[in-house]
Order: sequence, then C-alpha cells, then structure tokens
Amino acid sequence: MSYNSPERKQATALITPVTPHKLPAPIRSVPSTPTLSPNKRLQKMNVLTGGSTLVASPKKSTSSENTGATAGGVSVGASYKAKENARYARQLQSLSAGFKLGTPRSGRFLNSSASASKFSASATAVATPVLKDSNRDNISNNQNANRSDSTDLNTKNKTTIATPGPLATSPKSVLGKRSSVIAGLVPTTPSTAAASPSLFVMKTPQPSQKLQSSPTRTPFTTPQSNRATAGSLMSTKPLSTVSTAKIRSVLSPKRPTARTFERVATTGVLGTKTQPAQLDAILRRSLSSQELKSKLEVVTNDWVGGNMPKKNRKVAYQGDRFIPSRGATNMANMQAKLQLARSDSKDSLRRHPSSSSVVGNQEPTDEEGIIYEQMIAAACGVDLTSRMLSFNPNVSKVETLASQATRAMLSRHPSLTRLNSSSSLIIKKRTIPTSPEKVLDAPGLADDYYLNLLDWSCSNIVAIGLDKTVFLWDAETGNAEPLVTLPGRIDTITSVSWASDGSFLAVGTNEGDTQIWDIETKTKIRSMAGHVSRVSVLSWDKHILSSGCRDGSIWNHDVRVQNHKVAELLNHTNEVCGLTWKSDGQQLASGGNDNLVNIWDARTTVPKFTKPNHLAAVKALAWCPWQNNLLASGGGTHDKQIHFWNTTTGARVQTLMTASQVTSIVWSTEYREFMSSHGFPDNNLTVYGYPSMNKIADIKAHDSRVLHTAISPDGQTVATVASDENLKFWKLFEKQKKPKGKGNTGESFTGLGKGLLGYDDDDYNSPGSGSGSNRSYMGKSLANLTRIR
Amino acid sequence: MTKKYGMNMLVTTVPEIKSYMREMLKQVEVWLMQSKVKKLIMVIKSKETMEILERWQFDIHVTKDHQQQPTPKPTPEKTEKEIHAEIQAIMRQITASVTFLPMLDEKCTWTVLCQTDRDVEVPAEWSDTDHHLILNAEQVKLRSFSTSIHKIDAMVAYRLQDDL
Repeated sequence: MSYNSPERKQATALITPVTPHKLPAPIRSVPSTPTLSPNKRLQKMNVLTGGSTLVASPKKSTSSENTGATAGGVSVGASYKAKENARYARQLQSLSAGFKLGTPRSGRFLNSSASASKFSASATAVATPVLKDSNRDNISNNQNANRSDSTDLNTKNKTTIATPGPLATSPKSVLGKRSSVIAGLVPTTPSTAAASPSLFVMKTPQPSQKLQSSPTRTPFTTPQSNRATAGSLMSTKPLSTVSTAKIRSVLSPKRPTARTFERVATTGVLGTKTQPAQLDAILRRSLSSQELKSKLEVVTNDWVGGNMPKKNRKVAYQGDRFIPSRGATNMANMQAKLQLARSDSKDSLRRHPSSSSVVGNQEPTDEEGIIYEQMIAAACGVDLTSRMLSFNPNVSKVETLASQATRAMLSRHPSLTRLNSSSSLIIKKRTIPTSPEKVLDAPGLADDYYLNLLDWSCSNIVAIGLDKTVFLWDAETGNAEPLVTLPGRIDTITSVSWASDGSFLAVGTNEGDTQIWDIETKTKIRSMAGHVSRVSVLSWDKHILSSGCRDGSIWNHDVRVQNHKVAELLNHTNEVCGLTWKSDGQQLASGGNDNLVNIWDARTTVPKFTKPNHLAAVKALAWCPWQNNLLASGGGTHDKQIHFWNTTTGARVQTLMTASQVTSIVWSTEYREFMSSHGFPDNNLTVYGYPSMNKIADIKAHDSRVLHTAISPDGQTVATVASDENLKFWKLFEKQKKPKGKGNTGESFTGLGKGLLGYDDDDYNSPGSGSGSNRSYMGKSLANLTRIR
Repeated sequence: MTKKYGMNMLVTTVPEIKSYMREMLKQVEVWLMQSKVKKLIMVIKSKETMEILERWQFDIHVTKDHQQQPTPKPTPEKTEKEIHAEIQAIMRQITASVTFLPMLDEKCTWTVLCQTDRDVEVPAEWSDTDHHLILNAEQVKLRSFSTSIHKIDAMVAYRLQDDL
C-alpha cells in the first residue's frame, strides 16, 4: 500500500478514535460468538476486515461519514443500549427497506411517523449516534437528522406523497424485491442506492461476516446483489442475519410472516388514501403483531445462533473474504499466520518456515495481536521476518606500532598527500617527558579521594584548595596568593571550579556552602547554602553551577538569580564525587560513591542513562573534546576500569582495564589521546591513544595517590596533585611545531601536531626545514618511534 | 595472490583484517548451516560523513527441496567445477564492475552486514543495525550462481554522482 493510499488512510482511521459526533448510526458489534467479548471480537473483525471494509467504501463513492461510521463502529463497542437500538434499527431498516420500493411510500411513512412507534424510524438513520437514551428520542432524532442530511430520497419522499407507489406488483415479486433490498443488495432507485450505504453503515463491524453470509444466504440473493453487497461492504452481518432470518421466515410455510409483507404492502397501498394517523395505526398494529414475532425470531437467531457467524469467520480466515486489491496484503503470509494462530503450531511451523520465525520469538498472545502487527508492518513496509546484523568485534587487542604505521601508510591516498619525493613515510617523533616540568608545594592538601580541589582557569590561573584556603597560582607569572580563607575551625574547602570565562571561582565547603568569588576584586559575590553536607564537586555550564553533595544530590544553581536553586537532580544514593558538564551544555555526567554513572540531559531532572558497570566509586569523568557524545568514566580501587560511553545511545563503546584506582581522566585536545591518573597502588599517570587504547606513556608521578588533575588552557600541560603535598606539572601533550615557519612560538601553529598517530592528518610537510625539537624519520624504523626520555 | 576458482585472487595480508574476516565468517558459516542467512551485504562508507557509497548485496536462497526430500534429487547435481566456473564468472564481473562504479576519492571504510531470520542465535559481537540502504541508488544486478543447496544472487548498488 502506498503511503497515502485511501486504504491506508482508512486503516489508520480505524485505529484513531472517532469523535462521537461523527458517529452517524448505531454501530454495534454483534456478539456473533459467545466466547469472545464483543469488544474484542469487534476489534478483531475490524482489524481483519478493516482494510477490506474501508477500502470498499471509496468505491461506493459515499461520504466519509461512512468511513467514520465504520470506524465509529469500532470504537462504540457493544453496549446494551446500542444493541437494543441497533436491533430496533434493524427492524426499521428491514421495514423501510421494504417501503423503499416505492420511494414515495417510504417518504410517506417517514413523514407520518413523527410520533410513530419505534419501528417507524427511517432506514437512513445515519446521522445520529444511537447511544442516546430512549429509542423514541433516538428515532426522532434520527429522523430529524435524516431529514436534514439525507439524500434525495427524503426530499423526494416529501414531495411525492400523493402519488401511489409502484406497489401494484404481485406480493411475490414484492417479496423478492424486498428481500433483496432487505438484504441490502440492489437498490431500486438511485436515491435508495445512495441511502442504502448509509443504511448498511449502521451495521458494520463484520462486513466480512456479512460477505461470508452472502454465499450462505438463501437463493434470494442474486449474484448481482452479492456484488453490490460486496461493493458496498456496508451491509453487515446483523443485517444479513436479520435479512436471512426474515427471508427464511418469509420463505417458510408460515403464512403469517409472509402475510406480514403483504399486509405491509397493502398498507402501503392503503397509505395513499388513508390519513397519516390511520396509517400509523395500521402500521403499528401490523408491525407490532408481526414484527414482534419476527423480532423475536431475529433476536433468537442473533443471540443464540452462534453457528453462522462462526462459520463465517472460518471462511474469512481461509482467505475467502473480500479484498479489493490483493496486492495490498501479503496473502500467503497472512493466511499462513492466521492458520498458525489457530491451528497446531507444530504443523504450521513445518509448513511455513517463514512464519515460524515470527511465532518462535514472540509468543503471540492473541491472533488479533499478530494480525494487527502484520498489517501495520505491511503498511509501513517493515519486514517482520528478518533481522539485519552487523559484526562489531571488541577491539580489545592493542595495536602494534608497526601496524599503526602501516595503516598510516595505507590510508594515505595519493590524492590526499602532497607528492613529494621524501613523503613516502614521514613520522614525527614525539617525546613525553617522564619528569615534571615544575613542582610546587601544596601543604595541607586533604588526602580525600572524593574531593575535587584543583582547577585551571582559561586565564591560566591554577586554583587549589588547601585545607581552609584556596590559593591561586598564576602560571604566567608564577605568583601564588591566597584567595579565600574560610572562617571557623571545622569548615574546609572541598571543591573548587572555575567558570568558563575564568572570572569567577566557585568554592564548595564542608558545611555545604557554595561560594562564588570574583577574581578581579577578590571578593565573594555570592554564597549559596542549603546542602546538608559537604559539596564535594562543582561544575559550570555558562551561568549554571552544578554542585554535587555528599548526600548524593546534585543541585543546579542559576548564579544570576535570587532563587539560585533551579534544579535538583536526585539519583545518587551516596556521595557525588564526579560531575562534569559537556562542553555544549547539553548533558551532564555524574559519578558517585554508589558506583553509578548518571548521564543527565540539561533539561530534565531524571537521568537519561544510569550505568552501574563500575565496581567502585566513579570520580574520573571526562567528555571527549573531538567526539561529541563520548564520555570516559573511571572507577576506583576495586574497579580500575575505564569505560567509554556513547551518551546518545547509552551504549558502552569500550572498556579499558588499568592497573590501579582511576582518580581522573583528561582528554587531550591536541592529540587523539587521553591521560588517566591513578592512585592505589601505582600512583601513576598513563597516556593512551584513542580509540586504539595503545599505551603511549606510563609515568610514575607521585609517591602517593594522584588525587586531582587539571589541564592547562592550551592543552599541553597537565597539573597533578597528590597527598604527598606536591603539585607537579607535566608537559604531556606538547604541540609540535610546523617547520614551515608559521609563527615559531611554541603555542601557535597548526597541522603537523598529530605526530605519530596523526594518520588522518593529511598535510605532512617535508622535513627539510625542521626546527627546534622536531626530528623526523623517513622510511623504515617504525618501531620505538615514541621515545620516553 | 592465491589461486582459487581457477584464477588468481587477491587476498589481504593485513592481519587485523584477516582476523576480522575470520571471526565474522565463522559466525556466518554457522548461520548458513542453519539456513538462517537471507542476505550478506557489504557496505562501503565514507569515513568522514559515514555516507553509504556502495552496497554489495548477495541474496541467499535455499532451494527448498533440499530440506524436505532426503532422497537425492533426480536432476544431476552440479559438479564442483561447474560451481567454480560460476563463481569465477561472478568474480570477473565484480572486478569488471570498476568500470561503471564511481570513483571513491575520499577515505572509506567498509562493513559487512548479515540479514537473517528472526529466530537466530546472535552472539555478543553482533548487533542489530539498520539496512544501510542508499537513496536513489543505481542498481546493477550481477550474475548469480547456484549449488545444489543454495542459490546466490549478487547485486551492487551505488550512489549516483551528482553531475551525471
């Protein structure tokens, strides 16, 4: 089915609820089998035949009200009132159908039945939903509605009251005609034709059943009528049963019933002469006497006769139902699955291997479920029977340098590299010093894994919290000065964090206070209290400051407004020791002493993902600067693992086993590398390549646990501090200078800096004018290219 | 260079690729034995944009009789030679397809997908993905070959160049 096909639209109409006012007629489900609940059967029938039902209607060129009616029929369900009303309506239908033979007659009856009995409502009771209270009201409403929006029929009827109808036909032929009309088949006039669809709409929901009943119907149904029925699809099972019942009753040797129609006919004839009131009386008498009987018959048939509907349904399942375009359904598939649903599963499995795949995995709880699913899948063009798989091996093995270099060589496309005689294999050597560039004293540093006491601002100032005081060390001048000293005895600094522009420093204290200090004026701007215990970690996102507390709560403070607490992110059950915003401010990652990593969306207070993979506290959290949704998290002493997460999908991309407690992770902006700092037992710094996980450097950094790290604004130096009270600076990610003199200062340059591993960098210059510490090797000797001094 | 199917075939020497292929094909073989594989697809993507540039699709049809008739078929089975000849023909055709496939100037990466039945046992290394289809693709159907058990259809789809 095409996306915009009428079938599909109607199929979706089936699914979407129909507003009550659209319900044109008493649509009810016929409890054809006592086993299933009416609603369920209704749905099933509708689903089964939904496509076919609604497909047929456009062919009928009837208004959408029919579709609506049918759909409405689905949603209405079977209420008692509806059933009753529908029953009456059916009566009326059959009657008025008979009356329609001569349109004036039906019109007459219409007009006369303003106060008539319940039976006298017009057959075109399409406009009003039947779920009203009294039948009479209903009928009158129907009438009115019909009068208002019915087709020429009524107008014609109104106008042509006087003329005698063509009822001067033999009762038999009348009978035949009537039965055919009753059966809802060939309309005698165009107006009736127009009316009859609406007539049939009332009944709905099991057009299939109705259709099935058409072959099973008595010989009164002509082939043409069958087709018409099929075409309209509006005549429904109840109608057919009614009609068949009626026909049967008509055909039966029971004279009285046959006489019913005759009498009706005659009354019709009489009607031309008699007064409406008299007519009424006649009608009532005849109808009530006979109709009751037949009504009873009908009711009996309906409620007791479960056989026919059942049969119909079986017939439907075997594929003998009306489907206008076979191409719309995968009949083989559908049939197979329908059979599957009912018959012995083993047999079906053997016979239909494709369907077995569906049944095998998802145990279908009910046939309707499967069928519904299949129809949806067919509509959407989704193949339910197969899966697409791709191989994603874990890249856990470490690539050798040789293979890397080979890859570098191979990946160099001729169009991308500069054609140079000496450019066949150029590898720049990069050395990572194992001794610190600078060592500072950091006395009084609390030996607490959970705190975050070191941060480096973009204006090149290092802030470190030592006991009660925050010191600022200017990396350019080398000056150190205290900024904050907390009063009292108990209170200590527990976290520091620079704002993104470097003009404010957020300080968290042991008492749960979060302070904001202005650096230019060295004054405290704000104090945001409220946390019940110490604020162990802080992270800025523009004007939002997130603070993680020992009780596991994370508060978002808007530092600009009076009521600073704008959000409370509660998920951790133990101390929050890792907290970091992504650079674009979309996501926040938090790690806690409860071993969880939570990834929060900026707008929500419920974590997007919660990862319990770590086996120890997660303090090390870092977002990858070159890959937007990559987060690295490192676990504590008992975990020692670094997990890499795709925060869009929540998938764990990689895992790296390390040898010690991971205290922090720092990504390099310069190279595709990251550095992890460790505590127990090695107290080292390790530099790995990403995504190769190739260990580039392993530096014994401190004598005790490396507690906190921070990277410089230019990305070359990493500061580390340990409980041995040393603050050391390491030039791990030294940028390599470009030989062709693009500004010879160490800081500014482009391009070549990727070094050994930069095979995705495509402008390797010739090494001829190498300057400074650059040394390039050509050709062979791929091993040991990164030497560590 | 190895000799197979009666002609010289180029085989990769890179160990990583070899192990990748080995692992992957091991699993594919398992699935083939169970007759669960419907298609094998190799997709060439641009490294930067992750856009699909070429899609090679091999449909695998299992001739049903094999499943239900234990007795040997009356029709003569194909000799290995014949099958090899058919495969050789396909190989030649694939090689020759370079004439009409568009030039790939950018860095590319490839991946292999497998379309299977729903009820397959999927090991941990395999995951569900999307179909990696090419929009508005130019499709060329290549020769197919069959054995007594399987019938393989080959097809290549590639993205039409903008200027063509």
